[in-house]
Amino acid sequence: MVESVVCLKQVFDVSKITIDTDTNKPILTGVPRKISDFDKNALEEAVKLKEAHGGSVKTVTIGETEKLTENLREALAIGSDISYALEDKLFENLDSFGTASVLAGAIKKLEKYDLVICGEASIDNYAGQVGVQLAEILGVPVATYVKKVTQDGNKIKVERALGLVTEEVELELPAVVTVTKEINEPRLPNLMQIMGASSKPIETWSASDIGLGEGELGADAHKMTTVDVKGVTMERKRQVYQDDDVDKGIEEIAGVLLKGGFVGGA
Amino acid sequence: MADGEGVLVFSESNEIAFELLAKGRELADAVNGPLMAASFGAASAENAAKLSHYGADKIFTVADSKLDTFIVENYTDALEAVISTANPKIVMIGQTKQGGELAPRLAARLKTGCAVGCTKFELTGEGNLQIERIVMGGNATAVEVFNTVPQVATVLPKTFEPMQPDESRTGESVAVDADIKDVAKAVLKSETGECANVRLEDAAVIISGGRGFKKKEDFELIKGLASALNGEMGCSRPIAADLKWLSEDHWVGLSGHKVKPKLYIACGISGQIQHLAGMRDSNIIIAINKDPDAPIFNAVDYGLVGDIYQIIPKLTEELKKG
Repeated sequence: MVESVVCLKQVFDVSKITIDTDTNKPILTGVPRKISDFDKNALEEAVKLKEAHGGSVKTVTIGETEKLTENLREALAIGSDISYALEDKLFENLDSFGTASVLAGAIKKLEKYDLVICGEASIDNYAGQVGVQLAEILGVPVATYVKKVTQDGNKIKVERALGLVTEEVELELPAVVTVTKEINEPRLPNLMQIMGASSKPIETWSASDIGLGEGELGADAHKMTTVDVKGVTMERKRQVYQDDDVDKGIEEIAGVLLKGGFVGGA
Repeated sequence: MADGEGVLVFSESNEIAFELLAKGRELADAVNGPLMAASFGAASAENAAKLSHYGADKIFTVADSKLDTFIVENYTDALEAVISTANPKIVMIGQTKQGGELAPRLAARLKTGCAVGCTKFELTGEGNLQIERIVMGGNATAVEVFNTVPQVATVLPKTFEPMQPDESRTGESVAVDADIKDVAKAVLKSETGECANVRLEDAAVIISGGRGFKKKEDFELIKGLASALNGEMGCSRPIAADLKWLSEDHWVGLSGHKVKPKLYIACGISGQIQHLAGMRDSNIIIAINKDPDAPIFNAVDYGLVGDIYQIIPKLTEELKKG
């Protein structure tokens, strides 16, 4: 039996973000929201553990319930038993420590948990801080970049992908792991599962529900403040050759490279 | 806000610590504080001398044998002990897989701010650290300022050039007693995989291959083009992490290696945002891909839509003709 909690982050689909050339700010209006890619691997792993050993899968997500519903239904269809939407004015513009504090508050409120699973990092910020901070706040061990999990009683054995090094680590539960994209192939829910998800619960918890308030999460408690977000535009020629132009393109590109001194020499 | 003084640098890799010391020196001088470093485990005494050659005024060592292997919980205990002795205002940590774990855990322990993968370091009028880092999948740069002390920030390898080592420099070495607690976790095995010793961060030309290749042997095409251009071979995430056709040191991307060569050629790579964020600072970008709608073509100077198996040999031939 493994009681798993999966932290899901809702992110803007970063591949659809454009930059306003006048203000040099990213345009987020109309950009679809989705569950961050590696968090889906986290969910898949939790569902697989449940299928193999029994137990349960819960998910926790910060955001507005209304905007989260579609993504949380998807998580329920994939195999989560219950999804918690953590919604409060105080949860807006949190830094990573604030985010970890909120998730930890929600997890502590759950009756029991063995394993918290997060993605290795979010697809938008790619910081990888929250899982680790969550472990510190919960006072449990952590293993990051996990590409394999095996459960053995009240312990898990994991394989970590650390660049050139692969590490095998044993952790006593409860513990936090963050997983890589390679750990599994997230399933696509079938129609039955999608329909079944509508009867599964989505519960909303506020700051006071999880025992946090202005003192922990208010602006004065923020450890960091974002003072500006500047759009990054790529100034590229975007000269793309296709069909009958490809051979001409090869010649022209070869010419550019020869002229640029890339051929020959040392 | 409790005041701290100076800059403390840590990386489990000496090479990266030396790079951090170069930027740390600037920041420490700007705040009129000391430049400090920490080193842990059996080699810490030996490392202390080296760190002083690269600019550290003061080196804090914790020789506990529990620190001979990197276990983040143990390293957090050690660094916490160093910080309570050294009282730095700024803590710079090398952004490796290990450092990326240590920095946030430490910051959560100290209930202070942490920013990872910082690309720019400045001081505000009040002497607080202000950093920049890439957000929104590479579409934007966030400027963030710290409100608490110490101010923990991680730096990607190769962001700063180390200073020239000066063996006549001697820093003050301070042994710190740290209470390294037992942790419900054990490293059972650690295996170092195959490595081609490629340093993509230093490469002037990189030719990368992705999922457009049908089998490992076909990377000979990449090799041929790379050799014509005196370049290194790179690859996208699935090739290194999933299929393991090339060793991890070839992996270009946010979770692999962030590169900025003069010339980057992406072959059979669709251009996932994480790959783009790892190579977007390249001077010239060229892509070859069969799908005209592949996102990679938004990021290129020159693109060729078609079969990599036909185009790469043609391009290689054309270059050899001179």
